[in-house]
Amino acid sequence: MTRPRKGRDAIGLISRRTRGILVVAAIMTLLGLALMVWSMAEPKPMPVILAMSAGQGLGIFAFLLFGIVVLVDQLRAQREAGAREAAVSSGIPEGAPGELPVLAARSAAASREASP
Amino acid sequence: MFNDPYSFPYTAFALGCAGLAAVLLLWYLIARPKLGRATKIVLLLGIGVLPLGTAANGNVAGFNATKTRTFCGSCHVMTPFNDDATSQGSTSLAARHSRNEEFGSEACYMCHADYGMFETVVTKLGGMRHVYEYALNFHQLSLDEALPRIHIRRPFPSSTCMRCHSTENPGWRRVGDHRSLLDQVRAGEVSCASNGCHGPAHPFAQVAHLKAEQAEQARAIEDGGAR
Repeated sequence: MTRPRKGRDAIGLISRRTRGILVVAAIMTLLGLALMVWSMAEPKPMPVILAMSAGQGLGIFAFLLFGIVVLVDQLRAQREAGAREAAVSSGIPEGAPGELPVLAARSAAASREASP
Repeated sequence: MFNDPYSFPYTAFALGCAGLAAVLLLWYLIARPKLGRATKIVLLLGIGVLPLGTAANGNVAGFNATKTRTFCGSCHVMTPFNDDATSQGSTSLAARHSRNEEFGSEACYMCHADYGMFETVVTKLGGMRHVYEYALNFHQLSLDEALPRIHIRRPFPSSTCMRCHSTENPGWRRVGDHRSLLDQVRAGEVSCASNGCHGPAHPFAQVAHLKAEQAEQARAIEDGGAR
């Protein structure tokens, strides 16, 4: 029972910080690109080594962050769609988008628990 | 940046990709759009596809840059080697080969590369050792201090010379020393760049080694006399 909750917590946490994570990823990518451009502008040992190690490392890490954000966003969208469907099937009327489906899902879950 | 005609297309493509990626990422940072489908595609290009293009082409341009003589000569301890190679008046083995158009601006790499199966990669891995040595041992030394300590790690392999001088040419075989040492040269037991044959390739370095040895011997004799 603990595991799914932990997973849900992680998804919630990432969902709340989407903008921040993407800003970090964008800045890391810009830094990586700057290192790569520097190595081409001044092809000396240190710039070339930094571009091929730190520059590419930053780029890979930034892309991983972007991938995680997109995946979590997809999971969140699926969960919301599922909650909305549950609300509709249990006959609870749909209200404002975004906030209500969650409430509706909670009511639906409560009504499911109540029914034998 | 665009001096090397072979690297030019790679460098230009890499810079184009980097510029586009930077524009997209700055737009995201400044405009702060909502994370919809369009924003995801823009970020996929800005964080994934375009930087990948920069990295891939930048790597090729970087590898090409590391083959050039200016790259090798950018560490101060390599200055006399670079100066000798570019000198029009020098008769050293390195200088004579550097004047050959086939070697051109990649003279250091042409002779010091490993010509095995993974030549560039193996050579560059070996080059990382040079970076380590330079950063930790040679960076703070003056040229006079560094020169006697610079030495080739293994005897210069004849197989590198034999890439051009095949040992099959009748003109080459007419030389008595070549004829008598043919098997040893081919087997790598005798280096073409050894003393008494065609070497050393960088004679001034040999002179610096000898001077340092003589100074050390003189110091040892002085120390012995003092005792």
